[in-house]
Amino acid sequence: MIHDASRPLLSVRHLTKRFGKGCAACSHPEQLPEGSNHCPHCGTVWACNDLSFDLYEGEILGIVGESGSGKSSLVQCLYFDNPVTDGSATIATYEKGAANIFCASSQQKRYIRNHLMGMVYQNPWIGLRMQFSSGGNIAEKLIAAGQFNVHNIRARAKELLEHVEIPVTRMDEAPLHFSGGMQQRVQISKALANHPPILLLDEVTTGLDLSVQARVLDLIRRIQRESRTAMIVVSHDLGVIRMLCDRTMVMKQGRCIEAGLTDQILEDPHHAYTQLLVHSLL
Amino acid sequence: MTALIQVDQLEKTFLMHQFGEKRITGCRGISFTAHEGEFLGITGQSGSGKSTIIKCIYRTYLPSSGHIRYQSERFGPLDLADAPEREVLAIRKEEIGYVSQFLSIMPRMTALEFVMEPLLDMGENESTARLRAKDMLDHFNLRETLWDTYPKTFSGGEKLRLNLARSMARKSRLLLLDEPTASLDEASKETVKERIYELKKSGTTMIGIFHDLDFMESVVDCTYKLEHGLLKEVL
Repeated sequence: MIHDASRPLLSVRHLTKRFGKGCAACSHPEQLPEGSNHCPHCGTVWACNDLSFDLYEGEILGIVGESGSGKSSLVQCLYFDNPVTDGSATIATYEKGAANIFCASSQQKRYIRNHLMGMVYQNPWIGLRMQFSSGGNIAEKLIAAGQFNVHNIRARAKELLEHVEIPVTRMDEAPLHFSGGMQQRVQISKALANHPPILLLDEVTTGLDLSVQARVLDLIRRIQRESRTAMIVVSHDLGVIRMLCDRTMVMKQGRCIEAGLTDQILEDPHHAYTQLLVHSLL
Repeated sequence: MTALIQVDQLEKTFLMHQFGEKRITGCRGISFTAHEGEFLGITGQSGSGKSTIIKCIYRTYLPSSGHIRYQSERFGPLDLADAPEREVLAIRKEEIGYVSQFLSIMPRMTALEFVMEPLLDMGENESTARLRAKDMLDHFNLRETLWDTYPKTFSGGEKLRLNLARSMARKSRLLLLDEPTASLDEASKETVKERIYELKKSGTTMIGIFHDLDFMESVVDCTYKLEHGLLKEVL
């Protein structure tokens, strides 16, 4: 389906994710103690609280914040790894942008995960089957999207691995034997297998050494330039955000405290926490 | 002449939360108009708020109050002080250029690619962008052996000239110049001057800040002086 580029590809409204049952003392997040997203009575955590934003075709939106600010919970909710507590999300190329994807049936959610979105986790053990071959990992995603011709599957896997600079000769090796940077690149190729218009990247360079990190970042930039895939890049590293993103959202304790053009966030931060973050930048 | 940009009572205050909610005034009560094809120069002492004005127009700073009315080719009249981010991004790619003395290099991008990037963003095809970028690198006297290398290890002067080649490569409708000639040698200043004349001839409107008054007088059509936070036209 052709998508009008001036309209958002993904629209998220009032996304809320609560871990825990909640109690009378925290039925509304406003009741929580100042500066906390944790209920002192029942231990419930409001991981994402009333988040609304748009993602456009070809853009990279950065989400930055400290550990525990809800960044990963947000992308996990979008990828249906975790059910949301409240809120909606629509994708312009799904049901003409009229259906809340969080209310879709399990079958439809699988369709969205396999055709419209790709996800790359910080921990490649979650995104990959470490004992399967790299080609097999990609094949799994292709088969899930209804491709069964072995020849085509192998050809596509080869193409993808070449794209992320994994030697094709290692296609039949399991990612278990690969370095961290290579595992991350296999994960990216798997996420891209079905040409999804939306790619979610959760701290993909965290823990990688500098030159390896550089190759992964260059790959992300190349994908965005060549295929105009819209991406959400979650990172606590402002350097990564500065390099990749046009727009950035800053999260703290489950809330979006500031959003704007990335250079504006970095040079003219408004919120106290963003100022602290920017002044902590090396 | 039609007004391309009208700044009206622009004010920018920075609130420093980490320093006891201290307020720092960047600029206030700034009003001026730049007409199409005009080059407007702003002078003033260090810290008088000149860069703040330029950065507010480019929206690197979010203005605290006032208006920046701009006649966009794509979106029609809009107020840059509160235009949606998506529109600002599109306008930066297509209409408004920004030249500063600081190079923000992209890691692992060669000098040539770095100059080509804004041209490609503007919709130029690869081969035209490459030719144009080579022209610019040549114009700003960057040795050809450096074109295919990463700028990270360039000398200070080479970085400055590369930055100018990049930011002055394309023809913008409005070009903002934030002390582009600071720390340049005389020969390089001449190359900047030549490029400014070329852009002026092609109709680019420019707003520039300069410390070098002789240089400024040789390129601008009118001068404003920023004194005690007030902007006055110098006749």
